[in-house]
Amino acid sequence: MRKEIQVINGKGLHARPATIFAEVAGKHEGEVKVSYGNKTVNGKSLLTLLSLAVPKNGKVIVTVDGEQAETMMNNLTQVLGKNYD
Amino acid sequence: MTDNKLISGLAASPGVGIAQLVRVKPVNLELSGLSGYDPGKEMVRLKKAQQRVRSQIETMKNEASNQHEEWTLKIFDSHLFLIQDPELETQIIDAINNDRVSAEFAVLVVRDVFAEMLKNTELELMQERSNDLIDVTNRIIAELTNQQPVKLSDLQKPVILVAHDLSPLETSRLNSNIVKGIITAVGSYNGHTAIMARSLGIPAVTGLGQDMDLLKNDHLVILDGMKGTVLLRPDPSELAQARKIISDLQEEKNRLKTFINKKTVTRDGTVINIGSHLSRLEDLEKANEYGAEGIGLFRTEFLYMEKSDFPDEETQFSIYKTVVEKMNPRPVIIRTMDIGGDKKLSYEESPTEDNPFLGMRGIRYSLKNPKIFRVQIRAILRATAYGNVKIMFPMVTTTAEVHQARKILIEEEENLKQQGLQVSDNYEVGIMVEVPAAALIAQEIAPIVDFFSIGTNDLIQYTMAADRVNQSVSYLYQPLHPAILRLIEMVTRAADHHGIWTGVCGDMASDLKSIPLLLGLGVKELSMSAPQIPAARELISQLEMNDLISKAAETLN
Repeated sequence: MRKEIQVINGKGLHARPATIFAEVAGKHEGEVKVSYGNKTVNGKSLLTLLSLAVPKNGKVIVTVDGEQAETMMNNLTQVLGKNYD
Repeated sequence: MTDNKLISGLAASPGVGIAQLVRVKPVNLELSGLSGYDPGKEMVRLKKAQQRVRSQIETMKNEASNQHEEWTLKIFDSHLFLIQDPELETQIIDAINNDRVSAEFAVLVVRDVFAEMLKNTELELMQERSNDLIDVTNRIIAELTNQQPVKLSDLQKPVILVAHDLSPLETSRLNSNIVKGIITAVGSYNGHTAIMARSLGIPAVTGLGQDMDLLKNDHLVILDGMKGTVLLRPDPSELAQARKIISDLQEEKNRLKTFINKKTVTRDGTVINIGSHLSRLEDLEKANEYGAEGIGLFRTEFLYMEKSDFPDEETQFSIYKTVVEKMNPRPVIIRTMDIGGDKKLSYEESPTEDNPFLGMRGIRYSLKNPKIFRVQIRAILRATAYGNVKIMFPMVTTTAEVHQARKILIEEEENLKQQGLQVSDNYEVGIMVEVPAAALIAQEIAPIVDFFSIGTNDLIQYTMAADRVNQSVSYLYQPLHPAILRLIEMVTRAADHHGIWTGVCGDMASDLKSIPLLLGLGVKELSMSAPQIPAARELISQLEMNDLISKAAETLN
């Protein structure tokens, strides 16, 4: 499943929210992908997430495959909807 | 110096060290292994190296957990997390399989790609992550190529370490009995090396730059972490002088240590309360470390600065609650926002003022922006339920301002209670006395507040009409000038008369020359930065109240 989510955090998808995102995504059995602009990366990898350099209020597209994709999507939506500053 | 005997850098961690230099060699990255390797064998080597580095870091983390503050330990967690990054691993494995390169070469190439990518994001936070990445991968490469980064654990005799930069992993393992000092070519006061060195109590000088080349292995030097200097080829008299400083510092440290967990009492039994300033959440640990008897000045500005918007009620509440709970039953004096003047918010348009220090700041700003003010008031009021809270308004000039601020306080307390939220029944409300007008009408303000806290820095600057950072008039910045002492006396007398207490939260509160006078004038509470507390407490333990009172009266007349 795919969903467009806005990054609320004041400095965008920087180290702290990206680390939490990768940690949460890392628990998922199936694939987690994050797209921003014309780039798509592995959502379980902090390094590639950071390389997207998503600014505040940037909209990313999250794709989650496999079992319990919906629960995972909800968790990830929560991570991106929080302010970590 | 013409003979290059004394070289200077940044004073990164206080203390003086005398020892021979040991240069820390960086990991050699001139690797061979471009092609023709057996992917299967390289994979095994890679896995083993990763595993070893992981357990090394875990061991270091456990060892460090005894001697470091909690937040420095997070550095280890972030390293562990990076080692396990799935994309990093996948790409390294791809390089091994597809290009048939050696494992170390694959690690180097892949990490360079990622490091470059992070650098290009141009965010400082990413830069830091990029340094972590280089740090971790260097370890893996060192493992794979049998390079021992630095066997710091093998060092037997005292040394001063010299390095281009020390990684947090390296710094964390240092033993202050062996490592008498740290010198690096790069690094700032808030860099990893400096923070770790201060937390371990190892003197350090960073940012030496080109002068690093003058430091040779085995040379004896004197490092001064207070001045930020390294003295080469010290002669016997210089050595004797430095040894004297080291033993004096140690003696002072031991003596002051005994005052950390004592109460602040004069020789004749008068109890004084010494609180710590709090300008960021990390100061809370410092306050406990140095035995603060409360938070004497909670500067709430950090909640507003370097943000992209005004902090909401929940965000503020959780921070106030944390501090109040941790200090309970010790008092926490929360100063409402002192924004405006020279402290501008990036996310708010505000007119430029010709004279910001005589302009819209402190309570003036709060009353002009009630929506923003009420959010803070609500958050503070909710925190009162968790401990001993005192609310303080800054920059008060007139009684009308106090009435208006208190009215807002009462209204919001009512609102909170109607919502079923708890507010304590016995929080105190006071003002900061920093405008001379407020000191002059202290008699009128005292009946409508529970305490005064004198902000001497601004009080002196406003009374003497002298900017203390302006070199040409700084001679007028005199804390002990009769004009200042008389104003302070007006405040303490008004407080006594109305049965409330007076504290001091400016630099005078920690000034050992001013403390006797302040106490003699009737001040009951002092706030200072945490490391200054033991010395102030020691001084007070030697003072007699009667003496102080008569001396203060003499000085005033």
